[in-house]
Amino acid sequence: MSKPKIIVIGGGLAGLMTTIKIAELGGAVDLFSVVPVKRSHSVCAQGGINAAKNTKGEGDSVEKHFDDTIYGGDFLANQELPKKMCEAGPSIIDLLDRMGVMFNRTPEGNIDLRRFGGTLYHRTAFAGATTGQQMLYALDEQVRRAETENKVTKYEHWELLSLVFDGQKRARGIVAMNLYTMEVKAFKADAVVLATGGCGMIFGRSTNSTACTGSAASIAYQEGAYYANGEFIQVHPTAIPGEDKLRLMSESARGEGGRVWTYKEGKPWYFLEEWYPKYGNLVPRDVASRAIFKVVKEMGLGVDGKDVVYLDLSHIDSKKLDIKLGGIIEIYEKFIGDDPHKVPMKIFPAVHYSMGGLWIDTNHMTNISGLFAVGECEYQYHGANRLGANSLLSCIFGGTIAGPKALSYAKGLEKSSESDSSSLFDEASQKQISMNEKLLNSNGTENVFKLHEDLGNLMTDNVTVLRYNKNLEKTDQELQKLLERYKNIGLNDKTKNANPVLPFARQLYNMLHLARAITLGALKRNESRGAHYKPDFPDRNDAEFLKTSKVGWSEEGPKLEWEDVDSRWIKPRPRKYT
Amino acid sequence: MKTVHFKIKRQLDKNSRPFWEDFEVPYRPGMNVIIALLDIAKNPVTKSGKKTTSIAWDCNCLEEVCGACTMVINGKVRQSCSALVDQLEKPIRLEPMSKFPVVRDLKVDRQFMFDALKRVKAWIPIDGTYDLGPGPKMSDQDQQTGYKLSQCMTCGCCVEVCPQFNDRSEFIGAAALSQVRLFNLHPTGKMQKEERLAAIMGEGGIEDCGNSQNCVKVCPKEIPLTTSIADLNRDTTLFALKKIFQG
Amino acid sequence: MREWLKKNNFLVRKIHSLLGIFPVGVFLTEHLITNSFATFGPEVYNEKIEWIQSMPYLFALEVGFIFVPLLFHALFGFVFLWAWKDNSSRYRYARNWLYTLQRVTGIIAFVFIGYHVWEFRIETALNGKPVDFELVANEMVNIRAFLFYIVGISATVFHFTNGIWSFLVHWGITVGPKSQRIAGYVCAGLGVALLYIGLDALWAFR
Repeated sequence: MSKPKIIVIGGGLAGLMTTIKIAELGGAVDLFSVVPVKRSHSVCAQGGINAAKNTKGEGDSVEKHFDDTIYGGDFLANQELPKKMCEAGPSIIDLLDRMGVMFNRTPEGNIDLRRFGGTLYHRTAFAGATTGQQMLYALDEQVRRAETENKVTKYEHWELLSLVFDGQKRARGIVAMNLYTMEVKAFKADAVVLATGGCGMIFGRSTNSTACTGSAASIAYQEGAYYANGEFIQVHPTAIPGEDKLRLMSESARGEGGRVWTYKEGKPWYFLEEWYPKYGNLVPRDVASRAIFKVVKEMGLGVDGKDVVYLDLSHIDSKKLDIKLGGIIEIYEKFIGDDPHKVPMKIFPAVHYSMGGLWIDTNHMTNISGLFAVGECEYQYHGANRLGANSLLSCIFGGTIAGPKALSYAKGLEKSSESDSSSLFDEASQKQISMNEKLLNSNGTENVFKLHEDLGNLMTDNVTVLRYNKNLEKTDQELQKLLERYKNIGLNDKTKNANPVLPFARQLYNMLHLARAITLGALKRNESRGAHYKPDFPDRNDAEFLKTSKVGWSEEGPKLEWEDVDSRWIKPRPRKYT
Repeated sequence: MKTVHFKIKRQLDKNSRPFWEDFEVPYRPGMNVIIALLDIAKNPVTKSGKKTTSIAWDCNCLEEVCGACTMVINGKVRQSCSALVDQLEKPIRLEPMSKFPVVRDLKVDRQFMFDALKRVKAWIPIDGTYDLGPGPKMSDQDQQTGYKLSQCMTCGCCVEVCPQFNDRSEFIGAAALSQVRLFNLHPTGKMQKEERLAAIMGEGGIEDCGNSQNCVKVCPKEIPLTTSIADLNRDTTLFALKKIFQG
Repeated sequence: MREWLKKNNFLVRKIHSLLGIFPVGVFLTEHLITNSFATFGPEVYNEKIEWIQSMPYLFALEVGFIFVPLLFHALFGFVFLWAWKDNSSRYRYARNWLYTLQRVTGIIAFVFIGYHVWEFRIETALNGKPVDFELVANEMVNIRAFLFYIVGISATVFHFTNGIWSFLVHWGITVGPKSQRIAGYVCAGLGVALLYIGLDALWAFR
């Protein structure tokens, strides 16, 4: 048998780590990405990556990291993979360091650690305030090296259109579209790994990049893969409001001493420090976001009556800020024009991360044979709320599992995809070509960008920090109306060269279906847990809902099932940060 | 209602002739060029009321860390996400970068930049991803120098403004050269220092730099590109002398 | 030729920049200083010229230390111009202007030096005319020739002193922005001094 061929879709941290592992173990990788992999959304990760290296003499340990992760995730995560992830943390930092990631250093030349939300320890390694960018570049470089050794073939500016299955419903390849030439082509593979990131674009504006549509995950979902815990959408407490994007102001700002406040009765009021004396400004993100919502929406205490509060760095030494937080300070200066060294920044919560995603087993395989998922597009690591700086860790760790597991799956196949009949692939690509033709010839009155705006507003208003069942029910009805309106779209661009509307039209369709899955999970989970908060059900309800929600697609709409959570090591206990 | 006037240079494919179209979008405080382009996407009608096709452009992160949305705005190359309308002269002129093949409209193909990174072997050749213990220690100072260099997002601004980088030259450009310096100062990367130096001493290498120093002026990440080049000038000179006298 | 140049790019460029300083630039400095003896009057000037003309191996020295290096520098200078696409009107940074001027003055200097060498070295030698104060003075009576010399000397001096700055960067001697800035001031100072010396001598012939 020739080298097993694995298709990896997505060139962010998770996809690149998966690729590196497979290439190292002798597999051949076709790596697909909608953008050059170096421009993937991982570049936006700012604050750092967690690992219990305990270099500050605080007595931190892998067990404590594991406990903080499970506790921070409100006990919803299955515990096996998070446990292994925390155990692997320190060696992952070492690996990244060896790859040349420019982590900040202590005077002795060791990797420096800083504090982050949801923990009382210095546990976060960082490279200024652009850690994700630095890590992505290191992996990108390794993949480029593998490319020169002919172990990896990159397909950049290619978008996934559909998966190809054999008679036994095993993933055997994909159909993808070249975003420059609009060429549609089928590719064979022994296994397919989705590393396609989050779905922030479903909420219109978020801290996510424009490529984070969730389209690929939705394609898998519509093909029968379960979408799990989709209702858990992390809203990050500190982002700069903006019309095109909500720009993240890293949690590391608070890790380095930044304080959140607003005016009450004419005086600065540090409400997080008052309400949560133990963790202060470093409460987990769900807690901080709800607190800011309460202060602004319920108490009406937003700065100048607007939907913002202050994130204040102005009391911190200027040089220290430049070295440790330079990246975010630069963003604030460039986009707002004020200097955070001198004046407090104005921030508000923003949709940031999807804890939920494609259901995977502990081998990172979805319920479809041969289809794997890794990174933000899967659901395994973060439970109901992700701790800051755990996402980079889960991407890398996930890659070290998904890559080898996909390869051993491929090696275990009785025959390689090369022997599959080409008619299977011809049919699959023909189906996508005619779908494109249909879209290009659509002459309806709806504009896809406007539809997307409506989708974003609908989801942001109803499926973020505060959730009410009657609104969620209405949201699902509205989503179905949007799907109806989608049937009446018109593409103003019929060209077949780098057409910007056609791919977006396809993404939008997938976003709408994924939005329904997310909304259904939110509707059915009548409790409050982590990022999912229902004022009508303010408490966690382990008896009924210590369960993973699994949504499956059907012609009649999404169907939800519940699955027990593996709480083998840490038993659920009340979650308080006061 | 206050509006902003945009003039956008369009080109439907790489072989067709470019043409200009005018657009008028509603003004909002704090708006950037991306917001205007999104507006036009929602309603692709020119200033004179003519229906037109959507404009193609690249973007992703919208916070100036991915490098995708680079274009020439009012004659100068920069990222369009951080180009705030308030700070720009009107009408605002948008053009694709001129040093790369146009894919369509404002979208260009910058594959050359990534290939250049292959030419100079811009990576640390690690033995493997299995656990080999901690990496080398590094001084705080070296980290800060390296970090500055490793923020390069391969956006292409430096080569867009380089009078030596064009279709008549093979010049590799400042971005890739600066990466050589980055990897040559890393404690492990140093071990392949001469290999990388040799790679930039050939055709289109460091010698093609003409010292106009435009690159350092426009780099959005303020990477000391000219310092990198001068530093590599020293290293390549010494390496050449070493080859002559020790060869 | 092209293939050879591609292969030997590093060496050719390094030699090109080195020759511009030594011996060509050094000779230029010497030449300007020698000419400034004209300010002391025709007798002193003619004495110096005679002394130079009486040097042993003069022809070999001229060929080896002036003509060949100068031609090498000029020839490859023109070859390197091929890749130049100017954008100094769009990106108006000081260094970009200097970059452009370096190339423009190089072309001017080439024309100027070519004419100058033809007029005062080759043509005189062919016709057996004596090279002395009077010859130069007669030429400078012509206002157009005089202006041409002003432009030529200015361009040549600029090309040389700005070339020193580039040489220092090119050979990795000035690396950081601070050292490059200081080198810039020093080179500018040298340029002004040489220009004064050159133009002052030129004036003496009027």
